[in-house]
Amino acid sequence: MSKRKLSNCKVLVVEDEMMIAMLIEDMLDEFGCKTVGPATNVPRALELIGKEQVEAAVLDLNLDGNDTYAIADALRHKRVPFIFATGYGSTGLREDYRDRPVLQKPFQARELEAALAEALSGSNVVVGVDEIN
Amino acid sequence: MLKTTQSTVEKHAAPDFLAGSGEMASMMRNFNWAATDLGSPESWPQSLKTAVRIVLTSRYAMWMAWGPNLRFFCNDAYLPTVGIKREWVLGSRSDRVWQEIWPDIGPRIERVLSTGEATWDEGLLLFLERLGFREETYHTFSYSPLADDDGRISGMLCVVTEETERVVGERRLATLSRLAGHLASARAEAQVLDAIKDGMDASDKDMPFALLYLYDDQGALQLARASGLPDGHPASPKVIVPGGPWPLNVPATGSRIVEGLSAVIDDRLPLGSWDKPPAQAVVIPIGIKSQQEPVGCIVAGLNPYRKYDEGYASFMELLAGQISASLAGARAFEEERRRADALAEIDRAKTLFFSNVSHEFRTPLTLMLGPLQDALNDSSAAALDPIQRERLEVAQRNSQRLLKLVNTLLDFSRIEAGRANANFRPTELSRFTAELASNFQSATDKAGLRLEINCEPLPQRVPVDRDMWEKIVFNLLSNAFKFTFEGGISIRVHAAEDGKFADLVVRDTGVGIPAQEIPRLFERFHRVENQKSRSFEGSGIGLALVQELVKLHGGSLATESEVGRGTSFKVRIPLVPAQLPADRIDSEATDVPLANRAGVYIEEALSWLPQDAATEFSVSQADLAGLQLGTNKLEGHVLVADDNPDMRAYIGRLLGAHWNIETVADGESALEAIRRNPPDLVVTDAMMPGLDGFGLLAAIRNDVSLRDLPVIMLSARAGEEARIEGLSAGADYYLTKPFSARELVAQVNANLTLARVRHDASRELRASEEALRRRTTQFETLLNEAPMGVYLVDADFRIKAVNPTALPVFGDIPDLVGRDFDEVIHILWPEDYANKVVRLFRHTLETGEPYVAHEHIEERRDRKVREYYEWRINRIALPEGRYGVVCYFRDISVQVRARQQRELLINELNHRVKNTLATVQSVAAQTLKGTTVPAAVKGALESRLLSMAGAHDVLTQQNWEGADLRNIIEKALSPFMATRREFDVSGPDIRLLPKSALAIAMAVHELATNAAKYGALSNGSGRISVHWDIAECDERHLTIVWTEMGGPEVTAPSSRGFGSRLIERGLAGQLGGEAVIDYRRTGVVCRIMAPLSTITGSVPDILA
Repeated sequence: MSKRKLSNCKVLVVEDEMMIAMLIEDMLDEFGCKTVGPATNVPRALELIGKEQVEAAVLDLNLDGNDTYAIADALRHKRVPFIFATGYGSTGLREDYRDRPVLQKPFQARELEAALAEALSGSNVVVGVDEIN
Repeated sequence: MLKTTQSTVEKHAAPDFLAGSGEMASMMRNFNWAATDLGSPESWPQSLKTAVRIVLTSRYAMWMAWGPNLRFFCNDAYLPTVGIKREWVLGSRSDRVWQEIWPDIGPRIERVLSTGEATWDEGLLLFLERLGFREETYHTFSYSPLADDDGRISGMLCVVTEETERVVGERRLATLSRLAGHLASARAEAQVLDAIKDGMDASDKDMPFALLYLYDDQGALQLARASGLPDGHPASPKVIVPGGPWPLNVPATGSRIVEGLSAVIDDRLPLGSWDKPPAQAVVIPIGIKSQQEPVGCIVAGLNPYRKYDEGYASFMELLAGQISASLAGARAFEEERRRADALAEIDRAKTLFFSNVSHEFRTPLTLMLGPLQDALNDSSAAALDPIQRERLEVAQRNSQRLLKLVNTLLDFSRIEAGRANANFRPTELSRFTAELASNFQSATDKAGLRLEINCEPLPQRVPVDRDMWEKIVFNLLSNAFKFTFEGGISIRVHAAEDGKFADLVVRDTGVGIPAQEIPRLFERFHRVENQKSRSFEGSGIGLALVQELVKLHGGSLATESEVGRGTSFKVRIPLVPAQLPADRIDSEATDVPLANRAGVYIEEALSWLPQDAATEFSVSQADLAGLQLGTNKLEGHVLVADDNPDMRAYIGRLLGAHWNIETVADGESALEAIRRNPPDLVVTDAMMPGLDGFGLLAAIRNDVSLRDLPVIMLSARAGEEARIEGLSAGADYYLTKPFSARELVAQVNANLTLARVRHDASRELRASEEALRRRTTQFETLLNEAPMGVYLVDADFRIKAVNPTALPVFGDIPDLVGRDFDEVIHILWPEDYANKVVRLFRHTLETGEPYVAHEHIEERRDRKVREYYEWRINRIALPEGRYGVVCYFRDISVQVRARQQRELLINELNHRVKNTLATVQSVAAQTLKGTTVPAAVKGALESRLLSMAGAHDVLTQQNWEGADLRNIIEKALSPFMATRREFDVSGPDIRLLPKSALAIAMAVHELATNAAKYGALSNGSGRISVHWDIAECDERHLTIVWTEMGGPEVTAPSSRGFGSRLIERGLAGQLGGEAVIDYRRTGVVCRIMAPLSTITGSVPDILA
């Protein structure tokens, strides 16, 4: 997980909680990534995916009651690696995304960094604190 | 509009008068008129243009001819009449267009052209060839002259309506209604067939010939009627045989066309109304509703000038339908008549038979009665002892009865044969009748009935045959006596209708006759069924005889009756019989002693009354000689039911020597006696008034408490069949009268013995059956009320039993028990799952290994919903010696859905809490950003938040019902774990309450944070052990010991930070125990102690 990999990487942030979005933004900033968004709803996120050269994404699973699988589908379609950031466990995920990396909120910067690096290297290993279980 | 200018014509390719969208307009525009003698349309005279325009724009069918060659024009409406010629008729010569009918229409046109007068024809038959064959068509039309611009007649216009459908339709309708008319008055089959032939004859246009074939008994089609074809014509064979002109098989429905008749029939076929024979014939089945197969068929030659279209076919089918219906009617009528004839024949035969037999009986009866009478009249010393006398009296009484019956039958047959010569003598009818009636006084007195005799003197003596009158009176009185049980009988004679008639009225207060029986009352041998009477005996001939006798007197017989109230018979005879010749009236008196003849009736009537017990059972030892039963004799109580008093007394005497006897006269009383005092055996006559022997037997066999009672049936009906009937009705033995006394006694004894053995055996069997039944009921109750579905599949994979709880799961599958399990499962579940279930059942059936499915989710095929089941199957042995598989299951959909709901809620809650924590994390980060607060502080805050979130996760996985202590500790330590080697975590499994779990997680986090900063985790070589256990003090306590080793030397901090406060105060308070941190030099040791009850809420689950 070299910093080089992440620097200047354009990362889409999908998160409707303003404060959390800011936190992720700060973290990404620290890694040298460029934040795309943050998008607080599905249409906006899809619009950004279409417009920007997104290289990776951090997805909240739940935007004000709506799930974000439409965004995940779009990203998968464009082969953009992404990680879910969620308060739900991985059992809360839709079946076809069960093996995607899930970052349990709240998370630390290094956890996000590790997860992003992992995702960009093409691995689908679930990264997060629940690894112990 | 017809006055078009030249310039307009130039603009368009064709002149205006040919405009329009129709087919003919278009053809006319494209036609090369210049090549004809009419020249191009522009050059046509105005009158032609106008005429053409009128034709083209009309929707009425029209055609016209113009010019010396009578060039042909027509409009679209006329095209169907032209038919297949439509492509070329325009502009052709009309005599070519209508070549086939020119002989008909040519002269008409000629006349119009020469005289200028219009023609009119209505429904004219024309044979058009518009469909490729000569066709019968009808037209109503008018030809009118067309003049050119100079007023010369140059053409002709025809306005026409085709009426083929109407004319042909009306003709067919007329055929059908004519046939219906003919058939209406026909009853017998021959009449019906004639009517059909008439109907077919009159329809020679639609059926130049028609044949009706009917199947005979051998299944061959026989010619029943032919229309239009002479006998012996090759087209109308008597029988349809293979190789003949007509098909051997009649279609079950619809019709069958036979083509090319000229090729299959050697002779000329009839023409009907036409000038050529039919080329096709149709075969149509004739059916009768009550029979599935056709009973025959119609073969009809078809009109050569009509197509066999839908209309034609439906006409033929209607015709066949009409014929079918009337044939069915005729056959039903014949059947009915045959039955009536047969019945009348049987009646005649019966009378003949009886009278023949009667003759044969008379002599031996007379020979029997003489010596009997002599013996009874003997009063000498060597006379009879009372017992013998009584026996002979029985013999005499019954011989007399038989003689009376025989005489009645002979009277009857004499009357019927017209050989009854009434011997009329003027008689004082009132007095005579009163004398006759008074003979019955003793019988009515004995029966407790009133006898009222009320005979008014008549104005004159009445000529009657006294023998016959006597029979009339005795028969009516005897009949009244037989059916009256209380009240009385009245007999009245009086003058009626201004003294022209004498009426005899016999009225009783007896059982009455049902209204529906009255019309048949006087029929010979007719007897009212199930009538309560004093005796079942009787021939059913008495009233028939009365009627015949009354008729011989020129009188009439009438009946009034009401069930339960009584009956009255009224005989009315004329005082002066007009039809009687004077010479038939005999004034001589040849008196026969009345009492003698009355005696027979009275004796019989008395015998119907209950006998004195004393006389009934007198029996001598001599009677029973040879009937000894030896040592096998059993005590017993025998009930005898017989309506004949003599027979009853006889059997009573026979059996009374061995057993206790009770006698009754009919089935009802027998049943009553049986219920009152159950006998050990019943002897019953088969025929008795009211409830007969069979009825009694059925009542006994249908009563659970009486079922085993042995019954011996006696009957006068001999023969194997009667015997089988008796035995199959449930009799234990069947004896035909006359029977030997020895046989009866032996049978009673044998059956009593058998019954006793059976009784003992059945008592034991009943006891064990009862025990089994109770046990079975108990199991059934258990199974039926189990809150769990249970069903059984047998070795053939058929569903054998299903308990009520399981039924709803199988939904609406009908006749579930007995169905194939494989099939049922495939109705309920998708293919894959169903296959799997069947496989599992088979495996268990074959190996005996049970199978358990804890929670299975599957979508129901039939209900389209997901259902959750928990089930298990076991092999069990079935009573028939094979194995079966029993399945126990529970529908846990409700529980599973509730659990899922709860998980969803907790998940949601977890999500919110963690989002909030993340928000707090962010707020803190933002707040502290750029401040002088050291990074370590920021990190501490963040890691505390994360630690709480981690504990939340663990709790969420357990639905917030509690958490495993090990999981909580490991989760709290996880951020600090570089490798697992630094930690040694051990202790028994303990579940904590959520609050305790959170508190301990926070404490461990603080300890670990401290260790990472200053303690065992700060130098890369230290280790930490976290160990817990249950300790028994006053109550059970949990102790957790945190021990750091191998870290840098420890000095106690000067002041307590957040971490130690949290542990020593907060945690201790939360857990209701204590927590101490000991800063030893070798490493921090923290000891936490808490009562188990506070932190687990219950006794802990300690797993080995």
